[in-house]
Amino acid sequence: MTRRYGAVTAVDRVSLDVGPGEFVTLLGPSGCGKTTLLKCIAGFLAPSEGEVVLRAEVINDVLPHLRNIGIVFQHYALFPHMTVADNIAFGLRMRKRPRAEIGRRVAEMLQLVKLGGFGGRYPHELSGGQQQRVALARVLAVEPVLLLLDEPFGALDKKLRVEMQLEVKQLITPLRMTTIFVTHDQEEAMRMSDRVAVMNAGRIIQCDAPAAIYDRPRDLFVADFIGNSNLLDAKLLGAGGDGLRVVAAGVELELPRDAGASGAGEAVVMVRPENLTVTAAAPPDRPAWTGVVAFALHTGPVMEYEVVVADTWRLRVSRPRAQAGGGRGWQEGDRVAVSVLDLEAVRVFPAR
Amino acid sequence: MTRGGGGRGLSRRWTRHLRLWQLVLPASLFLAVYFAVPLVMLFWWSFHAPGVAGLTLANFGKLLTDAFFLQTLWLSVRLSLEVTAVTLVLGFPLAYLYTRLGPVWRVSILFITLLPLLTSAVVRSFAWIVILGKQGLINAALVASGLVDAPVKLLFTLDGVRIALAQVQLPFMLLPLINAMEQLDPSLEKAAVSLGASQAKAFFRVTVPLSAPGVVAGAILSFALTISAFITPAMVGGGSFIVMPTLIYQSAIVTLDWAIASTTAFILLAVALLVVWGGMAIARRYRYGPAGA
Amino acid sequence: MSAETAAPSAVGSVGVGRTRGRLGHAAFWTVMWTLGLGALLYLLLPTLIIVFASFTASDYIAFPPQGLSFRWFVKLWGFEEVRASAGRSLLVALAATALSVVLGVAAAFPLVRSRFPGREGLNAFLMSPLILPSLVYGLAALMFVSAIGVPLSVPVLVLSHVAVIVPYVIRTTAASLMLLDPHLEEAAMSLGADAWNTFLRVVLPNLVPGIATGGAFAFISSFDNLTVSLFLAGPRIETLPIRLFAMINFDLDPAAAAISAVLVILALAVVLLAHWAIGLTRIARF
Repeated sequence: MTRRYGAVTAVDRVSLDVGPGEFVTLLGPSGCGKTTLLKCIAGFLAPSEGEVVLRAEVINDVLPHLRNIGIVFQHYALFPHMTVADNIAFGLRMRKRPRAEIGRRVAEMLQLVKLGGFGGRYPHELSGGQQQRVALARVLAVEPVLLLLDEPFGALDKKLRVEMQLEVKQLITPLRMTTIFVTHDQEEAMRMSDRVAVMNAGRIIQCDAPAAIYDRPRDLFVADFIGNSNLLDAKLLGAGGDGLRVVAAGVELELPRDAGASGAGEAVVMVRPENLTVTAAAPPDRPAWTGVVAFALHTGPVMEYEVVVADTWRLRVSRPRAQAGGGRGWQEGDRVAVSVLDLEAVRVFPAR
Repeated sequence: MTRGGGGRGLSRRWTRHLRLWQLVLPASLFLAVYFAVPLVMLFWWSFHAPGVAGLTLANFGKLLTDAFFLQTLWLSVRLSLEVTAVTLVLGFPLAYLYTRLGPVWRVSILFITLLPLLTSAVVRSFAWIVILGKQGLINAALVASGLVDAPVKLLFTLDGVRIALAQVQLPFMLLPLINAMEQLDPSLEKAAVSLGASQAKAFFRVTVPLSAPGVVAGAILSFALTISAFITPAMVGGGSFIVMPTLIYQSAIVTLDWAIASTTAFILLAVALLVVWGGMAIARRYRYGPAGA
Repeated sequence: MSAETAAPSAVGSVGVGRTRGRLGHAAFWTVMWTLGLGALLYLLLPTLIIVFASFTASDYIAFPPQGLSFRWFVKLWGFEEVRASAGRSLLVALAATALSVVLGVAAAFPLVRSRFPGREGLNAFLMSPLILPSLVYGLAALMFVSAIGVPLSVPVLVLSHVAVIVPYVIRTTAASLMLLDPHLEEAAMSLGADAWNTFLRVVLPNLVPGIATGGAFAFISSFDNLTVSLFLAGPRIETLPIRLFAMINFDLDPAAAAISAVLVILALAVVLLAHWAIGLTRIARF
């Protein structure tokens, strides 16, 4: 499906298949088209090309209020002039359910989100987290065929966010509700999703389970966007023995054959900071870079080092403090050697 | 720190003694003397009748028992309510469209709204005289389309004044409405639609109730200004009927009966204030806390 | 893309009532657009019509005008009374605007920046001429002036205009001041500018658009004003709106349409200035 605004293509030939009960996240920087894609699914925007198919039916020409898709908005969009109970009952009233059923269902929903007894309150009397739960209850009350969540935790502080992520997952999973979640926060995406679709400039670059996205990013953008990574210019030396030979920042590495690129030529090597280790001298069995520690940061559970190697490359290394042998870490100015722990986790990409 | 030279030092010396709040004094004193005092005087006049010593309600008695006066008062109130209702019906859709359209439309709408506001009331009323006349645009269109056989008398009638006044007051209804509707969270309507409300239902159940404060603000302004409008009813109505402002003008300038003039003005203000107060009471009933989370 | 759910009791299916939905949708928007465009036309037409009618080549007013020419504008210039009253209006408006700007700009500062008891009330008081019917004010002012024994004159008229137009200046200046980033002044002072310099070089230049717009609104309100002038101009002073009023009550003359067109163009200039200085969308929020 494609969606254009005049000369700008906001969503470019995107194709996405979401299975029943799946939790898929659209992840990407702002402006990547994820919100536009969401609006097209919801029916607030029409695709310029392509189709939206729901339960094997093409719904391009179905008006948004008939799609039975539940949406939770970034700022919850609770109706301020209605009580919590009326908010939750809204969808049911629109479907003209009998009053008794509505009452029952509202009570059910309030129990589900642990807000029993809050029915008579107004949205502005509730905290952010409580409003979030009412928004969910409102949407789940009508048993939609699809749930869309548009950066719903954006307005919450970090601790609350993590709590709500868990809560929402706990609510949705037993219902086996098919969900599409939009966020720019990768941790959130990784934590909650069955699959993550990484988007950039209107296209889906990779759509895979979180582990696959992290361990085997398909291209440089995904590698750079997800987690932290060291990107080194390298040269492919062609296949040799069992694997791929690569020279990165002056050190030759032998990587598994499926590490990414192939053949010969310019490339970029990606190593994650937690996949590197710092030693006083180069270990005898592994290739290593030598350099000087530029800074050493103590960030809670990990020590982060930046080591300058080959005079130009700055390698970020991240080591858990528990392992640092008695809390002593390396310090600025130390001459050290940096080596890769697990060559299988190293990726190579063709140069841009 | 830079240090000023001789002349600068002098001005800085007295600016140091100048407190910021004192800057509001010139305007306040001016308005107190030239705005508030005359109004107080006006009220004072309405409680004093010629030939009667001291404060008296004689003026009020004279007017409020006069059938013609009461008729005029009722006409003014009725006319203003009708005009306000029309401006609401026309203004609401336009304000709604404003919130849904892009910047070019918005500027154009504001342009078309502000231009008449800054044009003299004389000019606007004159335009309506031309349009409502027997050879005016409306009659020309009616006759040409065959809806009527002969030109309809619109000028110098109450209907004509209604039509003209509604256009003159429309900007005053529109601007507060636009202000109020702009502050509504746009995802509220989307939320209603996603829950199964058609566009119309979402509009009536979500947008309209939440725009109530804007409606009240616009209605209050529109009513207060319409009931005290002098020029348009005078020009477009001709001599065929009188509204309160006309009475005030006549008694002040023509018959020079200032007691009556001031009393009429007082009653006019009182009625307008009553409606404003009533409007604000209604507005308070519809206060929903921060609209739009 | 496709999605399916295995939720056991899904309420309703997708897409029921498609056509009825589309009809309702279309009907809603047709009504909205009709009323909306209708309102726009309603707002715009009278002004356009009178401007067009002024270009008539004939001796009487009609729309559409019979033939187009500038002759009435030319004739206008020849009318002694029209020129005199226009000049009078200009003088009054300029004087009233100047005075309003001085009073209004000064007043705006404490209203925005200071905290003093009764600030809200004072603000309401200073804005009250905007909502008080000018008819009532005109009468009150006339009574006041004759009670204290001052004869009607141009200065008296000017002062009465000031009373009704100064709120415009206060409002736009205050709004501009509120939009001004206070960090700008702090930055200037931390770089060594004293209060006076900061005011002259940092604050004032940023307020000029707001003051200019307020001044323009004030000017045109004075120039256009009829109601207050009718009370306070007396038999000997004539402003342009008064002249126009008399002309129209006497006879429907294309000359009157020409004067009207000039006033409309003046209003147009003010709206364009306001848009260029501040932007119409921001002004609407003032």
